Amino acid sequence: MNEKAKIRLIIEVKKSLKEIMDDFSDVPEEMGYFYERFRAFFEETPNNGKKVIATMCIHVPVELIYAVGAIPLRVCSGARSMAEIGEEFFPAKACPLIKSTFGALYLNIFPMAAAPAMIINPTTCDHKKKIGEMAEDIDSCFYTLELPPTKETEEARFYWHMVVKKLAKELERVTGQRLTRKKLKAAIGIVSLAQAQLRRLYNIRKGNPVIWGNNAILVANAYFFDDIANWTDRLSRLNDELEDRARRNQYVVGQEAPRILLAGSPSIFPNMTLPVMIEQMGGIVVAEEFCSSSRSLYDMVAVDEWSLYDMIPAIADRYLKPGICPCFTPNIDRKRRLLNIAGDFCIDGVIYNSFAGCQLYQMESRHVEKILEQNGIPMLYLETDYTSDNTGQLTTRLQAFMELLQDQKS
Amino acid sequence: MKKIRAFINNSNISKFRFYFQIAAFVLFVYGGYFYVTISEKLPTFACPFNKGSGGTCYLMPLQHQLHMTWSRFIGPGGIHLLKGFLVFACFGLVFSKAWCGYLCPLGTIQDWITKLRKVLHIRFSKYGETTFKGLKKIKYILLFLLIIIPLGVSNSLLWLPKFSHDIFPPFCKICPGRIVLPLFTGDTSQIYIDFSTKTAMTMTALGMIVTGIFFTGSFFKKRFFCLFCPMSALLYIFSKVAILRLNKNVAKCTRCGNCYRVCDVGIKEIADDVINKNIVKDDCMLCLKCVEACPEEGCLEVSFFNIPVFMSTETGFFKRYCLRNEIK
Amino acid sequence: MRLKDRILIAIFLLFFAEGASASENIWLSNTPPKKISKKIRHGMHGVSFIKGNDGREKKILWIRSGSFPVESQYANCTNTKNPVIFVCSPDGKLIKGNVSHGLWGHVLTFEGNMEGFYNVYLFERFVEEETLNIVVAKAEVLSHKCSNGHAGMRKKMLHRTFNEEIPFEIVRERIPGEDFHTFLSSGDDVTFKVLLKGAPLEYSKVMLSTQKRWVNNLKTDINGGAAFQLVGDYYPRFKEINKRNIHNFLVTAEYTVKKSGSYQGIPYERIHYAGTLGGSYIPSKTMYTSYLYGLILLIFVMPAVATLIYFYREHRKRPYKEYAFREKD
Repeated sequence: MNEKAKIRLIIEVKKSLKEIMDDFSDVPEEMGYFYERFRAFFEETPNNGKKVIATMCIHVPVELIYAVGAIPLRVCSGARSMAEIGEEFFPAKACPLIKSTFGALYLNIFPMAAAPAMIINPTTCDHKKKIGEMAEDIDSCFYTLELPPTKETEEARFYWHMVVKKLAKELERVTGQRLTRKKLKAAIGIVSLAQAQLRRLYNIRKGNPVIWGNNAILVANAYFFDDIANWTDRLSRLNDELEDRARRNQYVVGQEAPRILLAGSPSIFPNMTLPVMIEQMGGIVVAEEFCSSSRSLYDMVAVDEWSLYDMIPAIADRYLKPGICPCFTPNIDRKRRLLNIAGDFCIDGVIYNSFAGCQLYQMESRHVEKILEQNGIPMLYLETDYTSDNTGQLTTRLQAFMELLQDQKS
Repeated sequence: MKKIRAFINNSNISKFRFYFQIAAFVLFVYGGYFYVTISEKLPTFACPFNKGSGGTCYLMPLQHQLHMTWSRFIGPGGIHLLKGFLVFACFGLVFSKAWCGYLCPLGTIQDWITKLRKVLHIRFSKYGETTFKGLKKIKYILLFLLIIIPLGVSNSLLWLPKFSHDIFPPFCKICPGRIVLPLFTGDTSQIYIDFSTKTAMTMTALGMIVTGIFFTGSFFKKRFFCLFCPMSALLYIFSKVAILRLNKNVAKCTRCGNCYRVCDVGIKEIADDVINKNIVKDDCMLCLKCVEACPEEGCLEVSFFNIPVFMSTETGFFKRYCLRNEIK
Repeated sequence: MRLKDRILIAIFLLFFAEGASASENIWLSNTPPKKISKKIRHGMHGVSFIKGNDGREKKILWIRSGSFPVESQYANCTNTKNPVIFVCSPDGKLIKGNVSHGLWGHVLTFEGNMEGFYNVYLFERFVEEETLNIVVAKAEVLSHKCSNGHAGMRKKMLHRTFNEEIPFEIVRERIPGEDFHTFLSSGDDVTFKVLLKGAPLEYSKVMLSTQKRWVNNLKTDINGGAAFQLVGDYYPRFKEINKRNIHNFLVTAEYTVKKSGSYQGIPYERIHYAGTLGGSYIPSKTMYTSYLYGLILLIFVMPAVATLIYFYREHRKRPYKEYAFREKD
């Protein structure tokens, strides 16, 4: 079964990549590197004997992992074939992302063919909470990162600080390396350089579109498994090229294309259906509110004193306080952030995608729609899955929404 | 103009503040030797017990002016009090709490002690939220006492006997500035305990204890004394209407808490308040470290006469926080 | 110095002083007679005020005669009928001073509320036993209210002399760091300068007597200066120390020069200059304050707090503890 699933996964990856590469012209040259990374998604890459720590969410403080000399690898999966494997273990209406991720874990299929020493699993949604109990089904073991259900209270913050400190100790144990001031400072440094480049990409996307949204999502997606220094360097080159294009007014679409904000459940490669469809219909995704892209690297760590006692809480805070995952309650910050993005990126319409089974996103959609409506921004609510069963209906609804936006614009 | 603004926004204001504080320290602690007397109603701890002081802390004249009988309030005494307060108000209205963060010599000393702790790699303390909320009330209690005690020295309050004159001036007696600042001009004469009366003994001993706590406290806690400073409470009156302001563009705030993290005093509202535009709180000293630590473009902004003079920028943030700790 | 020695010296000085003061000196004192002291308002630095008939407050000085503050009489008269009163306000203007026979003796009153020192002189000239006596009683009255501010204080601290009008005077040099808030206290080193027509006078006899008749005599040096230490003469029991106990001191200076002439038609053979300057002082701080105890307390508190913080931090490292509830009603 393992081999068969793997082949299906490879086909899926190739198909998804081909669709993006073929359907969209005028792609920046520097995108080539990222396409190549995805093509070689499952090929083994040397990691200099460093231990790999798998993470399942953006709430895992990767700085700590870098600081103990290990490499973080985000294993959240967007593969349909893996979701099919995972279906065995979950109820029918469970979230496809979880099913897919667990399916990959079950088959020991990791990006870069890595063998993680530890899988850090934050207790965000109900699915993640329960996945932690299913370690007997897979070869690796989970480390449960206890994320508090709220971020507003001082108690939650204190609790989370303790959790992160405990994680730091656990990472020291697993890697056998001591966490030091210098190493952690350097780790914050390399991550912040990556963050700086991603923020730069966002600033570029605030202007007239010089890059396709699906390309941008791919770039952010590559951060899951790519070597961080390489990724930063490549992204900086891409940014240079994009800035140059903006200077030459070389846009991928015209001004009339509706500017879309994709919100909700993340599009993770190879599940790129939604952004690809939107852009095939003449829209342009200029911003995403995804835990797979914008949110993963957006918020910065600021430290007052470069001591462990300040850096670790600072890192902990960065992974809790600005979080806008719907698993937090209350989650007013998410609505504020969406409005802010809508303003900054001159958004014409919001497409709110929720995976079938992600009740948190589903439940929040109503409030989000209300608030967006109050601010005169139309929103389309979609419920998708990794399967392509309901593509027809999806196409119709998307088309209607795009036409509405185009009418509004002209 | 744009270039100047970008230069300022990307600058390292903490470094500027460090040198500015040194200059202000020299002015307020040694200025008297150069015949500098800025004012006698300064909203900063330019301690007159220090012979070289280049001005006078307003708390001293305030206590003296309140030390008079009720009848004198309706007359020259009251006018003097009012005049003094107006002068003080002018200072407060212009620079607001920046007096604390940029000019106060006692604050500067605390910042230096903090620097010493950093060099020794000893970690700092932070109060819990409830402790912080409890402790910050002390400054209002001190302010109340420093107003009521001088009145009680010259008048009978609530038919109680008048207080002993030995308690006067009450705040100066316990203020660490009286003991610490003269030390910088080589004057140790303020280190003493007065045994002449019980009141005098209590007050002077309290002064010594507070000074001891001041040194150790500010070693472990950044800006330890500022949380209890009645001047800070008094200056807070003007922060809502002052010309120099710290504004928060609440829509842009992601509540990442960077500003709270770098805050020496530990004001949580700076990160959590997404309703109020004017974000200067009673403990704030306008050191502007929060603006430096904010990565959101224009989220925190310092304005003077409603003209933005310094604001948080992404580039500035990266310059200050990220590029300088690149791995070597 | 042992107590016995002190007493011996005191006795010696007493006799010596008695011999030294040949004639009674006239001096200006700010201390009212005990009987009326309650009617007088005291300002900063022992300045006394009295309300005149017109309701305005006046500064008041008592004209006293005697060589020792405590024994000096509240004089009922001066040597001459019309002494010259010379009062100069801090801004250098001459203002009117009145001598009247009023409350328990002759008093000198003047008005003025300016910041700084009022120089007050009572100046007499008369011939007696072929000697022209020139008697100058001087007082420096400090008028200061903190509410008026302290601008230009340093300039106002400088002393002024009036060489034309006042031929002979004693000037108290300011002690280092003195300002409007300084109070002389026992133990301070004070230099008095004797000026004859503005020029420093050498070999003039200067005598300082404290409230309790401790007396010291000196001759002025080449600069006209005589440096005294204000000796402590206040030794109550420790518990009874009153740190605001104001004592008076009196400085007199004499100088005789052989010169003949005539004054108001009366010939004289020599001129005898006599000047007085009154002042007040408080007990020395060292009597009731302790630097050492202060320092010990300060130094003790610092590590004590540090230890507390250390143990608090250690305590925090221990595992979580159960919440405690009180089961009793």
